[in-house]
This record gives sequence, structure tokens and C-alpha cells, in this order.
Amino acid sequence: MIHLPKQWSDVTVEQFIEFNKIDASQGSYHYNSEALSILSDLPIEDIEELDVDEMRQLIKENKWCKSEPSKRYKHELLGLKLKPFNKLCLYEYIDLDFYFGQNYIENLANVCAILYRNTKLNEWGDEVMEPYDFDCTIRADKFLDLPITDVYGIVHEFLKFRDDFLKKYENLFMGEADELLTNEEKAELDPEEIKEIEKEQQSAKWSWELMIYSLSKGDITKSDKIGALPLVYVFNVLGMKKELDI
Amino acid sequence: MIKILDREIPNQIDELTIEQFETITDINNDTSLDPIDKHLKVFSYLGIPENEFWDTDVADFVEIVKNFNTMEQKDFPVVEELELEGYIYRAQMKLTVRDTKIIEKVALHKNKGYISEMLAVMFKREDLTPTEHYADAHIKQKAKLLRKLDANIAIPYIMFIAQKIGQQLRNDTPTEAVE
Repeated sequence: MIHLPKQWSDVTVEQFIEFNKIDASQGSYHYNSEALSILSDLPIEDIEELDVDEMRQLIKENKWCKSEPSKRYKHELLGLKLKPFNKLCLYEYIDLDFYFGQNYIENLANVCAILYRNTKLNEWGDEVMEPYDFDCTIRADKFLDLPITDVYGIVHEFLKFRDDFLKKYENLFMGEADELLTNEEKAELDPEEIKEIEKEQQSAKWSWELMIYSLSKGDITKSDKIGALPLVYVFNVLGMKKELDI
Repeated sequence: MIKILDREIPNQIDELTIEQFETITDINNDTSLDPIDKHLKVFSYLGIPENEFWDTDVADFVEIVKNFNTMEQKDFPVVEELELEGYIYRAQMKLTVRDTKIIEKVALHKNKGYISEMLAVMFKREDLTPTEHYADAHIKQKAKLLRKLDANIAIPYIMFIAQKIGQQLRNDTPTEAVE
């Protein structure tokens, strides 16, 4: 008897990450058997012994797993609070940008470790969040056993925030040598190619080390101080520098 | 058998080996060939060189093709036991998930000899462990032996596999976001 979860809220973050690693290009039987193995916590060998009709029936009964989990998320988890995106510091944003650039589902626990934080009241009775001076990869394990529906929505929220942020500070991400494709150039390419080139251009122009090096005027001992500054403040200063050419 | 340009070639399933059936299927699935080229290649493979058709009238060629493709209505009984090089192999109209995963992989890549490889997955030696049975080298070697057998053995199994995979494809439709 195979016990399977009934909905995404019964699936842990760890299972969801594993689920997303399944190579769909190897065919639907490979995909479905791996999915059942992950969701039931049974070894793949046990699933492979099933009659193919039994597996089909199980998949049919669990069609919910072919959909996307709900995009909701919790603001408090494990005694930690979600840090508002507009309060992120530069280093936090750099790390999140890195994890999202790699694979945000595979890195979901690391993303959670950056975004959900300890808080305390300061001497004035105001709530303050812990500084970002811990290793998020170590803390990430705490999030693996949570239901995926507790955190899945933050992925979409951060993507939205990042899109808005990149749009707002677009002029800071564009170098002289990396100008946008002209309409004539775009007319000769298909939408997928345009998207790919624009993505590559953006990645190429985005050099965090260079930015910090420039802001610290070459004094790398100041890097951590700059990294702890609020992201929005850093980009406002960069905007000011660019506008005033200083 | 059918006589074309004074040569007798097989055209019924039970007259072909699995190897011949696979090659003809490959030619028919070759999208780079038009229907005439496909048939010229099939005839050439079965023993009538292409140049022998050069003086054939198009209407006559169409008639030849039509006759060649006329299949006698026959039942293909399920062969559940085979003896190959002194070993008994048994198959059932039953697929485990593991069988199907390997068959799916074989079908996706459609390498030369994929029909015999599918059969090799289904026909099992009872004295072998699953690890030995599913070993790539064992499947390939068995497929090589199966290729020499009559194609009618393969038909019920191909139909069974197609039906099972078809059922799965119908189930693989995406759904909306849920909790």
C-alpha cells in the first residue's frame, strides 16, 4: 500500500525540491515513477515493481501534483519573520539574485534562510532584524521539513520585486558597450532569441564585485560595510553618482 | 509473398523477420523521403534494385505498391515462450513500471533495432535476477537474437505497448494551481 500526500500542503520543501529535479526529458514513465517515489518516500525500486496500470491509477488519483502549488506564503515561520524585500541589504540581494539566477527551486531553502530572520526588540522597544552575517546554507536545513505551501509564494513575490527593481534602476545596469538591441536588430530575431540576448546582456553587465570595488574606491576592507547597506540606498547613491557624473 | 518484376519478396508480416520489419518501419518513418522513394527503398531492401523500376510506368508502380501493401487479415497469436540459444524466455501481457521506463527510453531514441529491444525487455529468463535481466548488454544481446525471429511474434506486444503508452499520454494533462 502506497501512502501519498493528498495535496501540496502535505508535501515538504525538501520533497518539492527533489520533485523539481526530475528530468522530464527522459519520458513520462520516468517522470511519474520518480515523482511517486519522492512523494511516497519509497525507494524507486519499489515503485518500479508496480504494474504499469497501478502506477497510472495512482497518477490519475494524484493529478494535483501536476499543477503548481498555491502562491501563498507565511510571514512568520519557525519563530522567524519574513524580511520585507524593500528592506533588503545589498549582500542579501546579491545572494538572492545568485540563487534565483541558478535555480530558485533547488535553492529554495537557501532563499528562505535569507528571507526569514530572527528579530528582537532594541533598547527603544522597536523590532529589529538580525544582521546578515550568518551562513544561509547552514540555516537552510531548518526549512526543508516545512510544507511547500508555507513558502512557495515568496518565489513569485521576489521575482516580481526583482523585475520592478531592475526596471527602476535599468539605466544603472546598462553599460555603454552593452546597449539594448535596436528595433531593426530585433526585427531580424525571433522572440526567444531576443529574450536570450537581453538576458545575456543583463548578466554580462551585472558585475557585483566591480560595483562594490568602485563604491569602496578600491578599499576592499570596506566591502562588508557596503554590503550591509540597504539595497535601495546603494542604488540611489549609484544613480546620483551617474547623474552627477561624480 | 508477392511477385514483383519477376522477383518474389515477402510482404506479409509472418513472412518477414523482426529485423526486416524494423528496417521497413524505419524507412517508412523517414520523413526526408517521399512515398515513392520510401517504396523504392523498401523494395531495394527486400531484393529488387531501384534501377529495375526505372522503366516502370508510374501507374504500374502505383499498382505494385498497392498490391505490396495489401495485408491479409490474420490473427497474430501471442507467443509467450521462446527458446533462444538453449535458454527459455517467457513474456506476459503485463508491464511493470521498470519495463515501461526502459521501453519508453528505447522508443524515445528510436535507434536501429528498437522493436527487438522492446521485446527483449518483455521476454525474461526466469533464472536471472532483475539486475541481470535489465542490464543493457543483456537486453542488447537478446534483441540481436530476437531480430532473427518472425515479425508476427512482435505484433501483439507492439500493440500492447502502444495501448499502454497511449493510455498514459491521455492521463498526462496539466491541471490548475492547487493548494
